[in-house]
Amino acid sequence: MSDAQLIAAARAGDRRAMAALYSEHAGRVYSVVRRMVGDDHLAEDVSQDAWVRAFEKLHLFRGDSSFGTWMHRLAVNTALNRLRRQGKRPDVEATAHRQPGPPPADETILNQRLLGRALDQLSPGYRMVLVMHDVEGLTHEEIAERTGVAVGTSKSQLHKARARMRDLLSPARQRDEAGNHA
Amino acid sequence: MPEHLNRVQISLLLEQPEDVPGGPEHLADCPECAREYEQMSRMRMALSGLPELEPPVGEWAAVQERLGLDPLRRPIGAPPWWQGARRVLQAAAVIALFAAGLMVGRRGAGQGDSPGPSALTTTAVPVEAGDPGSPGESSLAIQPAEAYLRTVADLQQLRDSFDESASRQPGPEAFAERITHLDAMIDASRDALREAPEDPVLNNFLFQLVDEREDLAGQLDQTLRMTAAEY
Repeated sequence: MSDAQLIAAARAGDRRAMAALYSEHAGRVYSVVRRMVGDDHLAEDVSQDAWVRAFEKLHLFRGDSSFGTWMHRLAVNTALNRLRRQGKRPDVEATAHRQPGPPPADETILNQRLLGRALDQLSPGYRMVLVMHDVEGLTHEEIAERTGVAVGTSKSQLHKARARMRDLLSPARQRDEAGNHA
Repeated sequence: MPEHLNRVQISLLLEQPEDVPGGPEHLADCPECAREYEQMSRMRMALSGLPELEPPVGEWAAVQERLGLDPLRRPIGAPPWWQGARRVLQAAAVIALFAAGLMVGRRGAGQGDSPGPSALTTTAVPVEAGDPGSPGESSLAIQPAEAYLRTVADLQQLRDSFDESASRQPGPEAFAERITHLDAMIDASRDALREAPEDPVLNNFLFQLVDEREDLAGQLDQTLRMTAAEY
């Protein structure tokens, strides 16, 4: 059954169709939410919120985009709203302009668990932009539209976030904080 | 151009090299910055390839609950007449437990010297009234098999009267009322199953109730939509 058929059935109250839509998209929704909010418990709450809103507003889905795109957008917006309510706004960290320290090992960079942990350690503002751009593939224009910041701010935050990530992933992070390398 | 590029500049080089004057040339001459550029690039690729995470176990159930769709949710207020049904179900559970214990006892008595429960020492089992958890308080003196069959018959009778009353009241209100009653029955069945989890009649009864509630919820939704469309 296609998404369109599932959506039509779900709108008519067919719970199996709703369950099928959920099953197909739950992983992607939870992934983006979890990475944006940086916390398991908060992510569970936000992800649930997104799905509840989705089914409550399913009648508003016009089919201009795929259900997956619509749902992803709704999930991102739900996460952003929650972070806004919690007063977590994009910020700037003084550590962002450090010179590069000794490079971490390749396997460190590519270790997904470490990447996830580093993402969680980012400040909320950096994390939101980095996840939306580098993980989810949104453009700066899309990020600006959803977050309400200027395109230039989104770009600036992205580069600072990446710098901070490199810093967090570096085994010699503490040494690096002492100053520039020669 | 400083001695080395900082990480923000290196990130910028990945996207817009023209915004870092002299940056590409510096990379060509500086192995350390070139290595950092490479690592930054690999990090970006790794981020874009992060795998999908598994949603939390039970998320769908929680979503259904929040949408008011959970078929096994506990009703806010069960109708008073279902207190009787609850007692019948609990009695069935107690009898099922008792009968199972009796069988084990007979088997044990036949196999060894240790004394086990015997049908001759059977105490009374309440069926229709009183506290079903205290069989010794009743004055009824009947065999468990008979009591169990009687309880099952009572269950069926309750079900029949329920079906009959529902058929007399078509419309959304009747659907909603029927769902409320089913919720109460489901609740009572689950309570009874806590006493006798393996009892096949109770299990079958619960499955039927859940299926019926699911169907009714769908019918109610359709009816409400049709009613809304008429307006």
